[in-house]
Amino acid sequence: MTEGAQPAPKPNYFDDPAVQALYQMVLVLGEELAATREQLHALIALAEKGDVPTAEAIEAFVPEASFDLERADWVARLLEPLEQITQSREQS
Amino acid sequence: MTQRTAELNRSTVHDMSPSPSARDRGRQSFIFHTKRHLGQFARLQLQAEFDWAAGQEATQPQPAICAETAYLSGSPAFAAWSALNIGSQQQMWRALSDMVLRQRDQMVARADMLLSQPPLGSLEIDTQLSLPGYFTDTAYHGQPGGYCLDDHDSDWFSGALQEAGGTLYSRGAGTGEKDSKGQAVVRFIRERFPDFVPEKLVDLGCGYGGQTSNYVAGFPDAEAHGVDLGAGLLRYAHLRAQSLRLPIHFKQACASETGFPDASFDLVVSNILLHEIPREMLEGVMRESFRVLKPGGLVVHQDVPTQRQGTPAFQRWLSNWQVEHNDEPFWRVFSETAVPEALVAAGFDSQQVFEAYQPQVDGPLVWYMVGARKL
Repeated sequence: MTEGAQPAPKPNYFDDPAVQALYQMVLVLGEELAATREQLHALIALAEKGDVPTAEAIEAFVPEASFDLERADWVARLLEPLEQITQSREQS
Repeated sequence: MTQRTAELNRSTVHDMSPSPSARDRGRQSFIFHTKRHLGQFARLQLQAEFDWAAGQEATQPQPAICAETAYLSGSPAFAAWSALNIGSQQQMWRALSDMVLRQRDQMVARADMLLSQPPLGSLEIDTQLSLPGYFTDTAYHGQPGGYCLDDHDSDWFSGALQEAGGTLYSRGAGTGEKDSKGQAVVRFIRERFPDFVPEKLVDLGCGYGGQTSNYVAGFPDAEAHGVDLGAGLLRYAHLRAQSLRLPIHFKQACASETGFPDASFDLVVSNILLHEIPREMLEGVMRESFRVLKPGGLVVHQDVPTQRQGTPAFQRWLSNWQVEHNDEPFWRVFSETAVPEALVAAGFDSQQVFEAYQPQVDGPLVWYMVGARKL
């Protein structure tokens, strides 16, 4: 029996450690909203079909393949400001 | 061999696969697309930052690029990318752990059901085995508990996490859902040694048994064995193989000291084992490969292609980022190790040693293949 290993401490990449914490918070918010969007999509699809959108039916719902484009678009919009960082370097 | 078995890959579903709920699917797709986006950002913008910093190096007293720590000083883009990359990796393990733990009771019931069926293969756990320190100290890729996690005598959690994490991580890195490292090795063997048909094979460092399954599919008449140090990985591998009706014999042992008799296998394989072990262990694995192979037998170790000549500086630096920031403590020493020399030192004839690069089955990368035929 072993309790398991722990991941090594990670570096801090910013002068102010609060900035790194803020990035982690943004990721958690983005993930949470992605989960909510997935459930909302299921809720609407079930309602449109006239099915009762129970919690069980929502969690078991598998969306159409094209819904992945919407997921990708959400992440692309969230992370789009990253490009501004490199653009500011080019402009300077 | 059934059609299902012939197509074992990253999308294979079995009785021990956790079922993602809508919420799980939303969380995991967010992580998947974030990883894809960050990979694209690295290839475009971060590479430009790297090239810019490299151009400044000659005129700067303090170089911006630190190859040792894979750091790019003074680059806000690097800082943001790194913070997001690490954050998304931590997020991945939390999302997958939540998914598995939420349905642990159902998975335990399915495990009991599988164990009540007549076994096709076997599982041998060595409760007296002394685990090496490097193994108990490393949480590979940040996996909670690492590969050594073993809470109780029926714990399979680390195996479930390793399969789910490996799939999501690889998919996020650009690999397709039909990919399989084991299939890539089977293809390599068929192309390079078309007449080679093993009767008995062993997969060293087999983990959750995903690749071992592919050796059974590729060589259906061979007796298949899998060896790993992680008891939790092997319990899951055994259940997985039982669910897929694959006759595999799993054994808890060190890949450098398997306990099998001399000259007992025709084929020895490993998949991405070498970059996860220290140098002395790699040398031990080569010696063990030689010892357990029959004359005429073949060894093929597959791993990351970090040793390829002409790898651009940015790619090497990016590899080092994994070392320093993503719990890959042995990646760099592997990159600096001449594996063919270790094979020759282990007893293989230098004329029989080969190195090659094999395309992924479903993905843009190539794998490093290194091995030898035993005379």
